[in-house]
Amino acid sequence: MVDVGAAGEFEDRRFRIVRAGGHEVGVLRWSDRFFAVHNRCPHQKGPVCLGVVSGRLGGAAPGSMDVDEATPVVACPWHGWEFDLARGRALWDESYAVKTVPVRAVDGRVMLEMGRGTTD
Amino acid sequence: MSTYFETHVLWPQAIQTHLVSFIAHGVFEKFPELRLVLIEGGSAWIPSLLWRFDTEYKGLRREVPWLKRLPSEYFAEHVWVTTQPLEIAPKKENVVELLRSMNLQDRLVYSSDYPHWDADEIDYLSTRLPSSWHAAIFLANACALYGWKADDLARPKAAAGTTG
Repeated sequence: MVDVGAAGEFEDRRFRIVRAGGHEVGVLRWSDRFFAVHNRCPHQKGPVCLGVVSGRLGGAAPGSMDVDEATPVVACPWHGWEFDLARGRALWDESYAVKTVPVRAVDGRVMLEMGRGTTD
Repeated sequence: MSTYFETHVLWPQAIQTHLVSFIAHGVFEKFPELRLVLIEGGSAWIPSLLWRFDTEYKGLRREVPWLKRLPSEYFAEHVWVTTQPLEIAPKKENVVELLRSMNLQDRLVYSSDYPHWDADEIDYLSTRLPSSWHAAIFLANACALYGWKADDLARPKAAAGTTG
């Protein structure tokens, strides 16, 4: 387990980039949940965690849009590829994924389980 | 553009615009049984457009979140294309390879464009396409598209005793 800081110091919906286990990892607080992924897009190795974070944008019917606030997504700043932060999977093709890192808050500290990572 | 020549070169441009709109705006999501036939705009450009379409979708999906699949997948399910004017490359196999890359041998439907001045005769077109594609492009694909039975298309035999 790698301690990456006090949970209260993580700004909501903003990635913090940390070094852990020799990797750059982006750690995000989304309300009371935490997510962590490697800061490396599977497309062209861009710094995916520097991209825009939002709820998943969906469209039930042509011309309509809705935001699923329960599903945080990051869009890589280089080419816009979107990844579901819980599963790491690209929204348009699940065969592409960022590596996720198990993360949880323990006694007010944010802890990464490096080495167990990956996509589900 | 000031010449008919330029306009004629760019016919596919208008078709590309409509095709992209059909797919991007979710027409095939709203009307899942709809079939679209692209006519008189060529076909060798289709792989290039669909490769580009899929690539752009990966980065710009947020603008069209009602799409559930890659643009090329909507094309493969809903769109047919008529042959005329088949692009004529110095090496005909280059065109064939492009068409094959998107399995268009299963979606191309022969059209002559008669009586336009640039029509494609069957005998000529046959020399530009692999013989293994002929049965599909000259008959089977149209039957699949329009729901025809090939046997029903046979020319009626002249009744006994009639002339002409």
